[in-house]
Amino acid sequence: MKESFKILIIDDNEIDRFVHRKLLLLHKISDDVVECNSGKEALHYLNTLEDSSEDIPDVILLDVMMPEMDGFDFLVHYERLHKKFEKEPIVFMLSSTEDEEDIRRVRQNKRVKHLLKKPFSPAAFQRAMEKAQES
Amino acid sequence: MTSTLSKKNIRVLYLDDEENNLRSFKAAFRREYDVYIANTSEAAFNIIKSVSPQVIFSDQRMPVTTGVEFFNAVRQVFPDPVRILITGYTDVNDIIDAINKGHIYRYITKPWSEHEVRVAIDNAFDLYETRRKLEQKVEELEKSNHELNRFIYSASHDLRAPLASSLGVIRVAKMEVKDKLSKEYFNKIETSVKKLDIFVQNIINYYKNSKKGDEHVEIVFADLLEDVLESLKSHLGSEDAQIDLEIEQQNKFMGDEFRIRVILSNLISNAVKFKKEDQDKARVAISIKSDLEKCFISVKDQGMGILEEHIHKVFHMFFKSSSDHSGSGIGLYIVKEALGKLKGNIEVKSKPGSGTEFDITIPNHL
Repeated sequence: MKESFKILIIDDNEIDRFVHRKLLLLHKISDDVVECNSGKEALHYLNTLEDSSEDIPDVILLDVMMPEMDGFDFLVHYERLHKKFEKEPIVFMLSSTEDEEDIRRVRQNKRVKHLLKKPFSPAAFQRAMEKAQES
Repeated sequence: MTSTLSKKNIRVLYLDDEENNLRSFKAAFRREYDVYIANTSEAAFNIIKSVSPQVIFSDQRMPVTTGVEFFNAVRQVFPDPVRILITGYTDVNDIIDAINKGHIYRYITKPWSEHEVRVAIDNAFDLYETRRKLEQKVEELEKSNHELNRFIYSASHDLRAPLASSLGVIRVAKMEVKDKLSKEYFNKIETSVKKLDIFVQNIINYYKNSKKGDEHVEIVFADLLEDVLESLKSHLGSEDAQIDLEIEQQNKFMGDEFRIRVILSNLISNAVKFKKEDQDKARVAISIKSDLEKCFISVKDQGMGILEEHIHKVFHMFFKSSSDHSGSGIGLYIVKEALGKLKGNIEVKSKPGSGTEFDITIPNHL
């Protein structure tokens, strides 16, 4: 992967956001990271973007477990909004538990390309990215 | 006498269309029990509604409905009271049928004796009480089970999330910190946190395995294995293990994904972990073959092996064959438990110094 990705991180956990941002930077995957601490904030941020904006993220890293609006709730709202974008962000979900129910829901959701396990692994991210770009 | 007093709490309803029978019944038992009488099934229903008797007697032969019909109707709405039929010898077939279908608990033939009815009431009341206590226990158990499930679900997340955060921070620190001593410290912290992490996940898996019902979904072994290896890689840091795969899946396989995943990931992580001291890379050969009936999984390593005197103990809880390794002694125990639930089988062959092989079969629920 040569190009640098624009990445949107949606996670209520501040330390995890920090870890993700750092690892993306240190592994030269992205130096263009936007952080949102809730699904609501992320929806608001995405709403402010023009359809053809340069700032539309290439990748959205979405935490499964968040208070109020969890990752899956966010996706429901996101479905209604994302259609206007010219380029379609790749969505990966993040979880610290290997919950069967979550795995199944991710598989059934065609918007989500992969469920990444925390702690964030750049190698796993890159493998998932290659797969997502192939399809 | 206390026994007589305590019997006063037993509420008995008697339904019969003949007033004489009702009167003599009440006269005979009113001192020992709370006796209610009714001469129509409507009146009987009203009494059941208002006083909820534990024991109900009914005559079989009545003008509008028979006793069996009445009990069948009662049972739909009030399943708890114990039902006893009073009858002559002539209605045998109806009675056998009613007993077999569970409409009534027992019958008493006419003319009844006081002693017989008394024994019947006491037995019926015992049954009623036993059932009630059982129901109560089941309810309590369901409640605590439900609470435990919720607790484990949130505990598993709340335990795992900060561990994952710590491991993430350590990962960042190890890249950014240049000082050699600090790096060494971070390595030590990481080793400990990973140990705790594996233990937490094992405990969650152990619990889930013991609680979860069988759920059969289609399993594509290539995908499942890829998933398992992916998650082991980020976890064990087993990037440098050499893993040979051989998958031959000819048919659709239906099985419990959670348990098969737990089995695979425990066996593979052991195979990677217990390499020989002088091996720089663990070598693991995984083979999965499945047909219409079952799948055969073999996980073979060239690691340190298991001493012969230990081999029958490896599936015991908290058994560790070596003290200097990072096992928690619960992994293989969970494998064995999970296979028990799946009605599968496991065999282990091992030679110290040359490696271990686990062979597993799991039935296909096609």
